[in-house]
Amino acid sequence: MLNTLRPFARGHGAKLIVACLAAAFAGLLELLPQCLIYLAALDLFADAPTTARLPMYALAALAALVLRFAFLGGSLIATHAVAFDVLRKVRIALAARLGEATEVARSARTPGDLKKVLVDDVDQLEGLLAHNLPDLVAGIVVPLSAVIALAAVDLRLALTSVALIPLAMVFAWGFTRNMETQFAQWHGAEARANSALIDYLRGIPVLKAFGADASSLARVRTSVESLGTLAAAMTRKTIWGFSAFQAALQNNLVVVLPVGLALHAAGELGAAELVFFVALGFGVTAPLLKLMFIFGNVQHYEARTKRIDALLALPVDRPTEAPDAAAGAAPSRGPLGLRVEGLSFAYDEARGDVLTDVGFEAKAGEVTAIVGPSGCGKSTLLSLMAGVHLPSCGSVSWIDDGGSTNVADLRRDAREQGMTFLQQRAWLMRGTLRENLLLGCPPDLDERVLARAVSAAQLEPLVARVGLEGLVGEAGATLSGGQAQLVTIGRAIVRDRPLLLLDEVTAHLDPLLERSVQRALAAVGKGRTVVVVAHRLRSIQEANAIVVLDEGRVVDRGTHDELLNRCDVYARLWKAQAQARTWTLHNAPPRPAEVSA
Amino acid sequence: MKLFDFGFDLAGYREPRLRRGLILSSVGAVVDTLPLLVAVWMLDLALRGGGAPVAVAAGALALLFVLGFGLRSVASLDNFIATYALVGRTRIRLADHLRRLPMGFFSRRRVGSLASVLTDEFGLYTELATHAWGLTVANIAMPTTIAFVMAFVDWRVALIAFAPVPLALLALPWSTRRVQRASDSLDGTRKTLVADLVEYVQGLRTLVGLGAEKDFVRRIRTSADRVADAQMKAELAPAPAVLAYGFLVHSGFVAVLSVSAWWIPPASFARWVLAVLVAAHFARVLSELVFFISAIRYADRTVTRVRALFETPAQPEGKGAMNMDADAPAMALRNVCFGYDEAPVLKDIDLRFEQGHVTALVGPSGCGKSTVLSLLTRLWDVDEGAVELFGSDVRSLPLSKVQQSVATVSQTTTLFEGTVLENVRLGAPGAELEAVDRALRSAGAWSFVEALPDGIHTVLGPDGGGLSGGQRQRLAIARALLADAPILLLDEATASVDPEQEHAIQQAIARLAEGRTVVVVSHRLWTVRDADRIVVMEDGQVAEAGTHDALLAQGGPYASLWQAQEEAASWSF
Repeated sequence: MLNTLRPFARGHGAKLIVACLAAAFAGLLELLPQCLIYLAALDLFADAPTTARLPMYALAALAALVLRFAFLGGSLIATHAVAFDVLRKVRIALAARLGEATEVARSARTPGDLKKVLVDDVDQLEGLLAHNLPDLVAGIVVPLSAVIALAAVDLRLALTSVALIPLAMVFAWGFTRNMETQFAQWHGAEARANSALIDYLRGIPVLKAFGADASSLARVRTSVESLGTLAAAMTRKTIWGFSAFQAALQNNLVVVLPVGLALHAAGELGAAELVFFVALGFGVTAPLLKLMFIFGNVQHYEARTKRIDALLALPVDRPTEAPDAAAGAAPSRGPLGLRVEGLSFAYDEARGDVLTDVGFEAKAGEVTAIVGPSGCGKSTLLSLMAGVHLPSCGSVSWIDDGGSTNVADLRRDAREQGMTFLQQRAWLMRGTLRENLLLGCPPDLDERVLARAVSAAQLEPLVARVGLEGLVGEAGATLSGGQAQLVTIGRAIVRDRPLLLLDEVTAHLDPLLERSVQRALAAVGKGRTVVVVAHRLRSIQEANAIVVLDEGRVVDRGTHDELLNRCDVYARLWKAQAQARTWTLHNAPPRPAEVSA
Repeated sequence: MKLFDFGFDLAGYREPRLRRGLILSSVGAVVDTLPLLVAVWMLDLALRGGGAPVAVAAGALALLFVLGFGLRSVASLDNFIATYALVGRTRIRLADHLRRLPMGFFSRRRVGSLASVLTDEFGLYTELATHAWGLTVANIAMPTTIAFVMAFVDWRVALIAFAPVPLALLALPWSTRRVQRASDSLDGTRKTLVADLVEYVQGLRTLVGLGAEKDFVRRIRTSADRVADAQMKAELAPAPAVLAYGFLVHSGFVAVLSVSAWWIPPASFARWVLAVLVAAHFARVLSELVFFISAIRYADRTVTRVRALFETPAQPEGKGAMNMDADAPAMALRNVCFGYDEAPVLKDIDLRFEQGHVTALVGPSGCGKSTVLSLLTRLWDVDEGAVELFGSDVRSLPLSKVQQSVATVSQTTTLFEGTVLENVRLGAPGAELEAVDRALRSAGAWSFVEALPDGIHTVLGPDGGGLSGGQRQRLAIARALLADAPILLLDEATASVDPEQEHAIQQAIARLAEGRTVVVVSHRLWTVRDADRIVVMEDGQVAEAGTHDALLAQGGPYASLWQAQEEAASWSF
């Protein structure tokens, strides 16, 4: 746990040490009132009693009070400053690492999982650094110095003051014994209740539509009530041990007073010393209760820092700054072709290959389409061509005048310089339309390039509506799926990379937008090497080459007319889509009266 | 003034154990303080040279120890069990209340924040509400008892030690106010950071593809810097109040020491020392109060949010019977105006959906087609005008009547964790297994359901995990077949289906549509060209309506949509 935090706390070492010292001093000053009572008692119980020094003691008490709050405040400010800075750094480091990590490593976690770590887990570190650290110091310093002060008066007093600790330990053992299994049970029940609640919430509109909402509450009720039942059972089991533990630590008087009185009666303890003993011994063990909670928390932090660690240790994709710069550099900026050779890939060894021995070439400047029934691996193939995944064997190469370059050997920035990968889901960030279009572009981009892209990507109506400086994304204007698609095409046009990998959108767009998207696609495809994964065969029937995939293998390649004649898979797909394209919903005659069976 | 709101009234019932736990824990706090009285009494005896009965002291303390332990245990048991039950009941009541809200309330983003209230926030609230209660009682009962002990020992010392306390207590609401203000501004910056982080993890793939991930990390850095600043400010905000509280509480002790020199008679030195000892203890116990208050504050926020949800009015429901007017349209919108917030979406629109007819709603994205469907299913209620079902205003009918009359198949199908059977049976809860079988067959879902490990009894994961778009759609069709409502709404029903599956789904839809009044929303104009009536919407109003041929002949908006579609259909790379 500390190993995770150490690099982020670097530079704060001195601050943390000062904060701990301040917390320790504040702890010591907490004991000063008792010491002053002792001094006052010495004065008053002396053979010649005097009250003359009382104002001085008052002054000391006042000074101690001011100093104590100063130390306490200073310590808390310092630990919080460190905590907030560490939180900030951890978040930035996590974000940076996620950006550098390989796609395979990253995609093993859902955005929800990642959010949990970046937001929730990191948040919790505040408690550890800002509160638990100074509390831990004070929790150790205060009782320890009280015991030492008592030992300075009489060793027997010190021993008496801690006499109940072993007993408290026995009680603690009693109620913490099965804690772990109980917590596991609790977390399990909580997770079940939460999942029932989320399922219920998500489904309310549908359930309502069918009038089935009341019965669906049953699962929520059962799971939430079982949470209460479990809590009650756990409380019944642990409460006696816990109360006894608490009683043993908070009722130190039960041993301190009788021993003090007995020693006093035996003449071995002066009156002032008796007062001092009672005053200090009274609360000496109470801080241990707090310590116990802090140690309880540590486990909780352990799990969180483990998750943070795991993300920080994600394998990094090919670095931007490769040691031998030439080796991974981009090929010349001319036209690029693409060659796939003997390519196989599996997401998971156990589930077998998704792609087997795939090979074909996409010639520079041509449109190559990849088609096939759903689940044939066509989208996976495109990801491999984009270098998002690495093949288990075989290669993807870029071909230019100078020869061929294996994409796997390219530096990340070189890969990004050579191609644009347009994926199905258009992602817009909260920001202006301009920021969204210029994502990843150098800041000094010519304004005319942007204007041309806006026009070519059919974005003019959208720009007229929201403006280039208008906000889009979650916080801004609502864009339909088709409009968002146009923005991503606009991005590709601004970027102007020789190679375009495109996963065609399957969603239905309204006819006007569909036409705009097609025009934009035509513009972005012009003069580039295009590899398109097509779901609708209509849109690629004029492609230079069509590669037909089935069950992860290339079954044929050729032009539309060639394939229609000789390739069964292609002909079958074509026919199915043609039927869907001519189907229309008819007004059927009214149903005949129900015939009872 | 009510300092904290635990929201226990929201559970809707009185929990007798809570009261008993409250009384017992207060008594327990008193009993826990009594050893101090014993100590003072015994020390008084000893210091005045009378000699204290050690055995009596030990016995009394041991007795109090056991008594305190017993009371504490029983009280905690009551408190924990009562508060867990109350908080659990509140959670169930809230879930129950939510389902009575207008369905439109459950937008995607809303569901996210509701989920976090019902799960994470409620968890935190439970944690605090179940613990803070007993602790607060102890924090009020204990200092009060100590104050009495102090007064019993020496009323003058007690008076001086206690004097600053009322002033100190004023600092508590002051601190709460300061924290509130600072955390409001922190909330704003934090929301931005969280939104940035969420956006980043969702868009990583795109960002990396564009080589823009470093730019986004810079954005996160800016937000994270702002949050760190705001956090520090929020942390420091209550400091003056907290310091003032602590200082005032402890200043009583200083005051006692400083004025005592002038008035303690030598005869009461012993008593005075003991009173001062109690005063020091009093200050220490009282100073803890401020920490509990800051912990409770978070529970308070959740309670405020939960209260607001409880106060959101449920969707009104009529009790009337349906006219079943044979000539009335199956459904109709009469001069309807409607908007989600300020901006109007539907502007004085009049629509009739005749019985047994297929009516198509077409138009560009954002023209209000889907909103019309939302009003037909009573997801929302109109702002002006009325929605009628067989001639009756839907607001005058019980919700169940609308539910039984209208079934919807939309582009996304919501499935639940449960068996295939349970998921399909939603359409008709009491349906026979045979009827479910028939519906599955007719929807073309039989073959894939049969191939599942346990057939119809296979448990689907949350949100039907693992099923393809086409399979989900077939289950939705089976559900609607089983529901057998006279009116069917189709909202882009094949939009999330693989192209090669599309035709099979279309055929299943045709079987479902047979003999029903159908309202269909589609961007694929050819799928609705045989509809009895095509309504073209533009900007929340009806632009034109008629049959395909008539509209095409008019050369209006429909004709240009059709033209665009024809062009799109013949386009190729």
